[in-house]
Amino acid sequence: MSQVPTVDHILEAPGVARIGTITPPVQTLAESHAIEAPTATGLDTRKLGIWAFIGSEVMFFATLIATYLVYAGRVTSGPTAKEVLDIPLTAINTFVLLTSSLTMVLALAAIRRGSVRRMRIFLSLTVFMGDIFLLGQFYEFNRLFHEGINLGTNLFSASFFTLTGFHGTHVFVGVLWILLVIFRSFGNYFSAKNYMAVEMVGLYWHFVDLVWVVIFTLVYLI
Amino acid sequence: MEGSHRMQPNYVRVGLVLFVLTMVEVGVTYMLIPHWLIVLSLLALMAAKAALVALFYMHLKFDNRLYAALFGFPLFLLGIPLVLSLIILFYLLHPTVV
Repeated sequence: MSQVPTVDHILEAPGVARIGTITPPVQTLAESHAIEAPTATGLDTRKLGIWAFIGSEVMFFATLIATYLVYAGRVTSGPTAKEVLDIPLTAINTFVLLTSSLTMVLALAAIRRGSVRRMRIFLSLTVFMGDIFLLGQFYEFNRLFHEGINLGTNLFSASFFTLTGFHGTHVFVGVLWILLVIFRSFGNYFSAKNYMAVEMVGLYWHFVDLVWVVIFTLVYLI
Repeated sequence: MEGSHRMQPNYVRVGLVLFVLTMVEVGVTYMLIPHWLIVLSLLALMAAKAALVALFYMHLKFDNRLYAALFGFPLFLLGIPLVLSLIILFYLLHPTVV
């Protein structure tokens, strides 16, 4: 006795397509975040945003640097930059920050090649060097405080602590931001196609490094 | 995405150049040459280092020009003129005003 074909038999027969049961390809978290909506400029809006932010930071630090240059040259009493600032110590700190910029860009290069592990190592090195820089700045501030130089001593000290203090705060924020990126990297968040978060923190970090290049020359060397 | 990863510079070489330029900077401050020459040298070295960081580490050399505009306009049209105008105002025009 022949069996009457059911609907399931017909649908499972070769060459019969079943509408509505196509299984989508498995997508990782990193790939799902890499999908971007098209923009009017064709550029990633997150990257455009961080560059606009950096543009505003240029103005912020330009104001602080201009204030320092005006005030530091008008000291009538108390110490001047030449008398109290330690160039060898700050030069070492500058090397540390420049090297941290190198490890930061190497972290970006690593994730572009798809190596999350190498990215994590380079980001950790960047955090380590950022911390060393902050420790160096803490040591310098502490030494100045022990010599009786603080925010209210004279125009030089007020503008010096304001400028370098704000820069140090930016380094601190950068360290926290990189730590957040490292933390997120454990959740399968980054890949060779999705690394915008690393690029954004990298741009911020390089800008902070660039500002230090200017501060080191104008405040410490000249 | 964008063109920043079409070309990848030798980052370690850029880092070494930055290291050497910083050493030269520190060395210049100990040289027995006129002060104005020291200042000019330091400003040139500073500009070179800042340009290296911006062009190669921040990829402005390879990336979309709009990013360079977002960075360059505030710097060259507002930031640097602000610094220069305050210096001219307080050092040249009104040297005694605090």
